[in-house]
Amino acid sequence: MAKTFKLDILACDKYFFSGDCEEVIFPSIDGSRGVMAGHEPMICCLSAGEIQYRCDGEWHRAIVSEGFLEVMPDFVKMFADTVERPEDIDIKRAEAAKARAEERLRQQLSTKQYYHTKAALNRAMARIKAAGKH
Amino acid sequence: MANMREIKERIGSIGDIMKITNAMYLISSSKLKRARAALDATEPYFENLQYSIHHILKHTGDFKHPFFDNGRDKPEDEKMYGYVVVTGDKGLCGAYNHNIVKLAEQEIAKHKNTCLFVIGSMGRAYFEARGMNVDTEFLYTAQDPAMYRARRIQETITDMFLKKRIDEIHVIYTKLEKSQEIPQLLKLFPLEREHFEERRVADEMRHSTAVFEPSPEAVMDNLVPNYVKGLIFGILTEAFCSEQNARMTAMDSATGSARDMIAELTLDYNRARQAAITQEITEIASGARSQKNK
Repeated sequence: MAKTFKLDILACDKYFFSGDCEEVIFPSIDGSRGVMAGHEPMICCLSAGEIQYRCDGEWHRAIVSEGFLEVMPDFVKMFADTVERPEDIDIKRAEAAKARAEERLRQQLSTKQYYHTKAALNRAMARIKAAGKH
Repeated sequence: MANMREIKERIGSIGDIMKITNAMYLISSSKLKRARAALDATEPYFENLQYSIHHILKHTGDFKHPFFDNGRDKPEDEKMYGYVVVTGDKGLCGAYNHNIVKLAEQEIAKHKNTCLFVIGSMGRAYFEARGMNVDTEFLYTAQDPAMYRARRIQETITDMFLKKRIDEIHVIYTKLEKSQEIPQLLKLFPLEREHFEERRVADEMRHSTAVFEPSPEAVMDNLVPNYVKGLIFGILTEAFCSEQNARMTAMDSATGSARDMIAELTLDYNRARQAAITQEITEIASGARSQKNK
């Protein structure tokens, strides 16, 4: 039995997961990162994408949007705007969102609008990618 | 008889208003149920978020970042204070809007330069009518809080803060505590370092300093807006829930007093009717008697 730590995943509208976990992999702003029990204390930013976590040797997946993590040797807290299970994703909706974002990107946008659209596109892509694997 | 008709009209109009207040009571109670569910769902996030930020600041090494820029070395006269005031979009909710506006005015009176970001049209109309410095482009509704709206609000105020147009930002909102609405004041920017200072006193409590990956600046650049966004979302949810609760109680008591008034007026009406009948009978009887005596 591998060493475990307490993992809490919080979305703004629900307590997604809380329990003992052996390993967690998540996309941070500078690439994918993995955390196991006894990790040094770390504060890290989460970018939109797919996270994986292992409990009792079994891997689970979830799709997250932007957020951050607090990593301590014995626990990890993950805060994200949204967290979804791959099977809950509405692929049609995600594809529509992607198309909408791509169309907007072709137009002249202000810097702020550009970043909004880029972020929306990122979220849609992450959802489509994860749902496709499911 | 005029008096009887007057009372009857009064009863009718009170009855009509009672129908409205009762309908509003039902609407707000069903809205409250939904808002309550949303609030319960956000609460763990909201609480953990605040707790974690304090924890993170406690484990942070010393570094400078614009979000912590506390002093700004400006004399009080030149400092700009920003207030985000969360009010309702509609009235008829008891003292809800009044309380929040009162607290806001108290706070504003403390500083020389202030500007307001008002959420909800009741508060906006109030402050604009009084010629206060209200940001007119900041138009957000208090109805059905959504994450994207929280994000927009966060972007606007973070931007204002970083461009140094505002030196301190507070939020004034209503918190729901045991079905009681309590106006609250919360400081957003600059982030408080008090929790960080505590660490020095209780040094043995601190086990280790956390590292920031990739760099403290990059993490803070992302983390702080994210934290503020979560905070604003929580605040909006809390305020919306309070508003519905306030409206529900107000409408319930309005319906109750309408019922009391109708009961009282019905009594008056019956009395007036009795008086009229008695008078009529007396008149007829005395008329008949005078005929008989002829």
